Amino acid sequence: MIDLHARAAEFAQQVQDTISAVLPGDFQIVSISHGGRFVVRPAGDEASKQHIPLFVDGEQLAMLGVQVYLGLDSSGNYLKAWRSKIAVHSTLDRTPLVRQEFDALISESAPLAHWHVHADRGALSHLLGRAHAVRPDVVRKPHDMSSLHFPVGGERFRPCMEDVLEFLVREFGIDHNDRWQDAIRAGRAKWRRMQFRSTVRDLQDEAADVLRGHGWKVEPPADPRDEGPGVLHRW
Amino acid sequence: MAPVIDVTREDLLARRAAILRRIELDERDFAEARATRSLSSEEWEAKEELEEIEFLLGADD
Repeated sequence: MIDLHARAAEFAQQVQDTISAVLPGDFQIVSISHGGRFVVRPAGDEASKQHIPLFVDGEQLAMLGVQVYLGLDSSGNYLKAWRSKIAVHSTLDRTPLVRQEFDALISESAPLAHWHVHADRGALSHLLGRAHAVRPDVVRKPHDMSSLHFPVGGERFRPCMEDVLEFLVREFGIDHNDRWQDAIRAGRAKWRRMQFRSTVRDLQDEAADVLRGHGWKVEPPADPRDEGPGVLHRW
Repeated sequence: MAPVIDVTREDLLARRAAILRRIELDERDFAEARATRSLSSEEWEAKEELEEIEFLLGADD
């Protein structure tokens, strides 16, 4: 019997440890649980409180939202992140500034992994407005740049939480702890090894070819195998 | 270890109803608003909470 509670708690603690190592400030990551599904996010009884404070020179100017939706994978043996959302909010306006999201079940009209940018640009609105007039089923909100999904690598090659944290430190100038880079590197390495192993599972013949090219002796199993669904083609 | 907070189906349904009351929209009208216009701060927070509730309730399907 899989102890889903323990696995979700362990995952939530890893999120807590990584963010705490990078960002100053108090927050508690929790898992909200129902029926074998979990939502890992900052504690708080309403959405306005479910954030991690972001400081610049000691003054809180923004907030970070982190949510990871966990449920059993198709094998029934492991917890899988079916959806993840990382968003930066200003303290001036509770709607987001930027969001990085992944949704394994999103329709093919949008990329599985994507950024949303909440900003305005007149020339972009002009383009989208003209397109909306012709294809309203494709461009549904021509006035709203945040409705666009900027694609980033699909399920396997998408950014990790550590990428967003480093983005905040290096490009937003957010306050950070002294040894923040150690946590970023460790978390990113763990993520990329996990994604790499999943990709090898999806593309076994490709992996075997590469290994043979480096002198390994690799024999295929007797059972037929399929490439992982969508790894090569799904945006 | 990070805390795990168990919630019941009844908790989730009550929370969903309270959120919709707060933004004064029913589910259909809120879905229409999300698809066609920019959301206010309150509506944005409602969207986040409702998506969490929808995912957790999906365990009962």
